Amino acid sequence: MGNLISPQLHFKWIRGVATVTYYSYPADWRRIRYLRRAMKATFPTDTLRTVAKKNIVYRQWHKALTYGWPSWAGRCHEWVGVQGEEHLREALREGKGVVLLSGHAYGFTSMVAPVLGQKGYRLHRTGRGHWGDPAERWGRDWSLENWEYNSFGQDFWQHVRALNKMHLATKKNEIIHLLVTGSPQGDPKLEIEFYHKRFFLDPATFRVIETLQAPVLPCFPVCDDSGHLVIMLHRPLPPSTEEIMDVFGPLYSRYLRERPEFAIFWRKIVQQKGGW
Amino acid sequence: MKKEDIRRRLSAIVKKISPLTPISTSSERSIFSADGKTDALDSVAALQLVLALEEEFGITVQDEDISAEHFSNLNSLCQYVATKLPRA
Repeated sequence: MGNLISPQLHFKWIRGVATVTYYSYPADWRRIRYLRRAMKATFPTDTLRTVAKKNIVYRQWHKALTYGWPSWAGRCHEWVGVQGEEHLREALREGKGVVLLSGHAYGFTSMVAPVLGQKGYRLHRTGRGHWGDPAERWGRDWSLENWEYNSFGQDFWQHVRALNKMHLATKKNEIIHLLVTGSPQGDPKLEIEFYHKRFFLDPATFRVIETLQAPVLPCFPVCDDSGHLVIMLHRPLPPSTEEIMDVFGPLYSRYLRERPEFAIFWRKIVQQKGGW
Repeated sequence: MKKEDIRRRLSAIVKKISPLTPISTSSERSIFSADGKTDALDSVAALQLVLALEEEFGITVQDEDISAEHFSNLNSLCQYVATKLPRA
């Protein structure tokens, strides 16, 4: 069925449904309440309404893409683009592996590994398995040969093994996709500009990067108004926290400012101790 | 290599990675925060330790070897490194 309905058509259908749920679905009201609280001082009411509607559409679109990928992977060239692929090739030429760094819960992060894997790159995505292990979700027989999901799990030693897998992957000149979380409290050196509020990136992610010593590419998977997915890869950065923050910090801040609808972390941050 | 020599070099590695982690009081004391100690090594420091072991002793730490059995304290770590080193 998924093969018959094109992703573009599916996006139009999701956009229609989300427009209805924006007005009628209590769970969506709760989600956008946090978004409004975070941004009400920055945007006028009309803009805020547009951002909130888009946020609901992209949230659903992210889920549809993640779960529908096996059906649509074969024709992904129709609806997925990778910008800055030359930066990835350039970084891989160093032979030290590559870290793709994205904002946690910002954009279509779960699509980076499948899309680049489909293009022939070897990737490792590591996380806490919010939506479960993709191999289990899609079935073991579905091809994951170019990428794998390393779960941090709940156990300390499993966490270390997952980190070690990243290290082994960089030794084989493979790609790691890391997501950096943000919170209202933290190290001032890792603070980024964020709607006139305090927003600090997680220092542990930068410690991992400095340990792996692989070049870092800022990676922002976003989409256009027709649901066309674009994975934006920026030029490689050396694996030093200071140099990454000099470029990644303002870049992430700009994405958040210009495309806030892709962020789905509002509730988590607003509700945190010391939140807004 | 003598166990005392391994232990001395391991202590120096842990000290370098995390100067605040107490290692001299007891070799049986866990050096990792898996046990909830705030002054112990966290998972990123554990990875740094794995890399340092590989560099210092020229051994390869297999993924399945990363466990409490081998890494929980200085004694078990010393034992593990000794088994990985080529016999003279």
